[in-house]
Amino acid sequence: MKELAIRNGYVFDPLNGVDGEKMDILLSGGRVVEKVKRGAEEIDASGMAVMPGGVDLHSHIAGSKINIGRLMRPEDHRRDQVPKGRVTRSGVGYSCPSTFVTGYRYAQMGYTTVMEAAMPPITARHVHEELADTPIIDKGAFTLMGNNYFTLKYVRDGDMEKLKAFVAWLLRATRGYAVKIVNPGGVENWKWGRNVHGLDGNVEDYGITPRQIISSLARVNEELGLPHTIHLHCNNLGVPGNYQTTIDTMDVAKTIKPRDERKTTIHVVHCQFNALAGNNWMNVRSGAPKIARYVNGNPHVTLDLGQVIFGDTTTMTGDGPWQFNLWNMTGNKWVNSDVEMEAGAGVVPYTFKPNNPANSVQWGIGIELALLVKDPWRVYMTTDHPNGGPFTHYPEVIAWLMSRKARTDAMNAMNKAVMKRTGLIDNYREYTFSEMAIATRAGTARALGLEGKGHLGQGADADAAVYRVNPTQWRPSQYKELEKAFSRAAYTVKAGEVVVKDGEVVATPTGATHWVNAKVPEDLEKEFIKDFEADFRKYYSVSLRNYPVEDAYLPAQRVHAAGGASP
Amino acid sequence: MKHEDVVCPFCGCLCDDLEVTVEDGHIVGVKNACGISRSKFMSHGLNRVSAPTVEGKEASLEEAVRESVGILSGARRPLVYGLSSTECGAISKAVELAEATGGVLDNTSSVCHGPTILALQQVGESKATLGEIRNRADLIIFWGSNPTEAHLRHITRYSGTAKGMYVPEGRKGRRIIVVDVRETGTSKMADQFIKVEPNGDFELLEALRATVRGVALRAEAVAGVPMDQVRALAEVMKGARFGVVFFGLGLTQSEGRHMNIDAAVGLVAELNRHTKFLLTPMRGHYNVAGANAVTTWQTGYPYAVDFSRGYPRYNPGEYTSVDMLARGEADAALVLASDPASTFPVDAARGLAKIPVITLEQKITPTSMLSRVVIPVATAGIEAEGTAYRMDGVPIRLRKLVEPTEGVHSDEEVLGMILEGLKGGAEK
Amino acid sequence: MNGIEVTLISGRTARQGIGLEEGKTSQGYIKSVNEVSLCPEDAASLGLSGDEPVTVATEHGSVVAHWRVDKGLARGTAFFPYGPWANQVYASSTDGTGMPQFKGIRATLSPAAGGKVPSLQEIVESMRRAEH
Repeated sequence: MKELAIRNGYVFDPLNGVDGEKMDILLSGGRVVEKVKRGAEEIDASGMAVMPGGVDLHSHIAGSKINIGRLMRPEDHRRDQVPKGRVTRSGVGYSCPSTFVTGYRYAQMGYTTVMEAAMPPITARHVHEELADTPIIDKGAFTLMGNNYFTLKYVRDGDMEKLKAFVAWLLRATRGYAVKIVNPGGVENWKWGRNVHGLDGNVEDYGITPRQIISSLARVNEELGLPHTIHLHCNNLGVPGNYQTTIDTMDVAKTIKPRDERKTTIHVVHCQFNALAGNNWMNVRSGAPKIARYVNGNPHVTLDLGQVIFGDTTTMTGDGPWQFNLWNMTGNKWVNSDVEMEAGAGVVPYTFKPNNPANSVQWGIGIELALLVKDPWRVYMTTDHPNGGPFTHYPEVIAWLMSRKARTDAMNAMNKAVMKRTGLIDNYREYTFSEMAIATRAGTARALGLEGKGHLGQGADADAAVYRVNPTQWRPSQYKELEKAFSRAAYTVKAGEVVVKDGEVVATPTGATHWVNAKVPEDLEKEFIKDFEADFRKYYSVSLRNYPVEDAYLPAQRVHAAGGASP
Repeated sequence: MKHEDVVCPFCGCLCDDLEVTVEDGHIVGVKNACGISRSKFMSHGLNRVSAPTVEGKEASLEEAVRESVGILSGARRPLVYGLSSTECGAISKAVELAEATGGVLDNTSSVCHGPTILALQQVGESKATLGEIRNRADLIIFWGSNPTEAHLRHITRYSGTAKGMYVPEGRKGRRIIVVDVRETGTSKMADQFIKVEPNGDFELLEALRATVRGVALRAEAVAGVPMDQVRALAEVMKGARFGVVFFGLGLTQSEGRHMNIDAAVGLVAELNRHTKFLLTPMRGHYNVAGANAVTTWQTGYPYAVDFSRGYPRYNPGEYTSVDMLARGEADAALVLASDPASTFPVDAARGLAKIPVITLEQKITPTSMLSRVVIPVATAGIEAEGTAYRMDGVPIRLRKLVEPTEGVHSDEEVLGMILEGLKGGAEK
Repeated sequence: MNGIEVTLISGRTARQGIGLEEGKTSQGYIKSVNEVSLCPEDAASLGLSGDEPVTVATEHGSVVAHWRVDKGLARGTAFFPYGPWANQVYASSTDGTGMPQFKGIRATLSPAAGGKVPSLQEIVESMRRAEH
């Protein structure tokens, strides 16, 4: 059995209350253990920071949407060409990296688990084919449900039992990990070229509201006992003034009873895009303080940043009407892709410019959210890759969060609107190493309900990162060093195997795909299937038999049980 | 034994409702299939390559693989071409093989919807899965496409006569317009046929786009279409509740090529300011969309990919097969799931005849006749399983219904053997 | 007798699809792609009748093919299904796009007095010979 000892590092394992203690981490059989035999492979981590492997809970890395991005942007690839290496495949990087390069680059930053944030059910095979081609990291995908015909129908009929059976069935059929909701009702209306505006707008053809969709799915999510809460992209994304919609949306889930062992009932994604105050793009300002005030007072909410990175990127969301608006604003090339019965998507290249007042405010909002939310366990670092910017820029975000000098230097190089229309200049908070470990692994793993991830306690998955930075000596003024350390891990260990050494990929094992095997009682399942089959036959362009994803698409899988509070 | 909901591996419609009867390891019946599909299932055993050959002489599989490895490792600029009529596992192996040899990888989209991809890279596109169109479209325009000859069940399953959620009456609930240079089976079942002059599509599309935008054009006719008709068509398009343009090779293979699609995308984008409007390319080979998809997620580029520098580069016109062969640049070729000797213009086909070619094929073709090495392979979707992507990007799993002849392997397996041979050689 | 100028268009046909699934060497396939279609008026103006084949010629090349009448075609338009015969007359130039022009090509049709439609083997042989 392969064994590995990571010796003498400063360990940050917040889930187990370890805050920078010098200790050994011992790995055997893919798990963290108490003892290893003599002769185990050793890593000397003296003077370095040791953390659990990074866990990204929101990134667009696999499936039709990112592949449209890759397809439409040869000019993006040409600035980041990746040659074949001794153990690595060739490919391209930057905002729409090829699958192989995605796996390598996450691993190089010490990440070992990444969740694809939007999987349309009918093209779930595509997501899984790409995930299977994404090396090293463990992964999973969130199934889009907020504009699905069956969701809308059961919400309209007030049939929560069938909705529950449907959610469970669809997670199994798509091998999904969580319930994803994107602009609920808005994407359905977009199928006629329209949108919804706000929580109480009308979802045409159904006569229901986004509020009803969110509350119904949140309730069903908890009753099924799914490991993660609903994963929600709010209505009105990108509309100045939308912070109020976001707060109202969070409030919808306040009275939902969470499953056992979890206190939260809603995760709001890439919150920066939904934390805009002001009433147009000319006078847009930060709504982060208002959102943070709500979050600080309401323990049922978690959020991730969707931090903006200046430069050219490719925006891609399941929010068709938003992408149409963005096309109208920018005149850039635009792909719209509607998915029958279920979902939609749009892709538009976009450049965040430091001299653009609105973009600089957006940059500030992301950082401000991270600094103003007091509980580090409920706010997570993402760029909503590649929407705010490519994930490869995470080390810069880490530097901005851990060093006020880093962000002051950044602010001095951008439009002054960031000083006037966000409160960032008056914020002196700097993340500690431990808080940073929470925002990038411990907190995200806990939010996802991934028990083996995000910590280094006995029995945890043997996923770890060693960063070449000495936390006892580092000062915030040395943020460039920090950036470098987090860009190229000294070691990344995945399932007990060293996969990255000195920032270079040295092994490319296959990571597992995580999914949730949710279930409802048999008689309810039967009743649901009868109703489901009839409509499926009438309205889908594929046969039901050819719809669920076969096991062949998951070369390595980890199945999670749903459980917790039953009604 | 009856197999239900079988997927047809012929055209981009990827119909998945066939019923195939197998007795004693042979297909004896097929239901719900179109004429071409029936021919594919019922005749899949005819005219098969019976054994591997090297220089026209029967050889063992090992000898054929060894010869293939020799050809590829000796080549300076090998071309890997085809891919569109096999499953994604094989496509994935072909990408790896092209990378391993530092060669050029291309698929048949370079001679079908390559220009569509070029246009997408310039301006984008607005599309949907076929069920979305079936459920909602009240206006369907076939432009330079002729499903009655090329996608035989498209009209009944997905578009013209199909019943959908918001079009419960089927054909009566939809207006069908055909724009083409000639009358076709499709134009005969349409409500309106608009005859455009050959190579006039770009002008007509741009005139429509201008008219939709409210620009008054002073021309009396555009590309042979009277201006009154152009204005009327623009109004019909704007007035639709949900419109779609299904376009085909009439746009990609005539003068202007990708610029025709650019104009069509622009027109459709413009229409989205008035109503819901989409366009969808009628992809030909059943998995050409998969060939583009796999190649894109692995290399960043959909076709015409060069690995000679160790990383993928993309340049249609340079790394595309017709150009590579007509210029005499490729010095060896591996062809699978395609017959370029039949489908390429004669100069490019001659280019193929000049170099050592390895062909993986089920049936005897002009390409296999020209090849130094021919290796028989199983038919994906009949004798081997795997994934295929429908013309709208919906992936469906192909099934294995019967065993291939003993000793015959899938494309993926044979490519794997060649790849192993290449890696073994590299280690020595 | 002189020929007529036409615009040549290639494309798929269902017959060709059915034929190619039997095999490229099958009579079903060969017959589906070795003939060019033209309108009755053009056929009459060329004085075509019976089994006599036609020569299809472009700036780039020529081939002898069978012919048939298609009433759906306008005068001056001819249709040649994709395949080895049609490809004898198309140029390999792609104008830097990768795509040759298969549709909307200027061509001349003329009676091939005494000409013979080449067999598939002859076409393949002619490709081989071109190497010498």
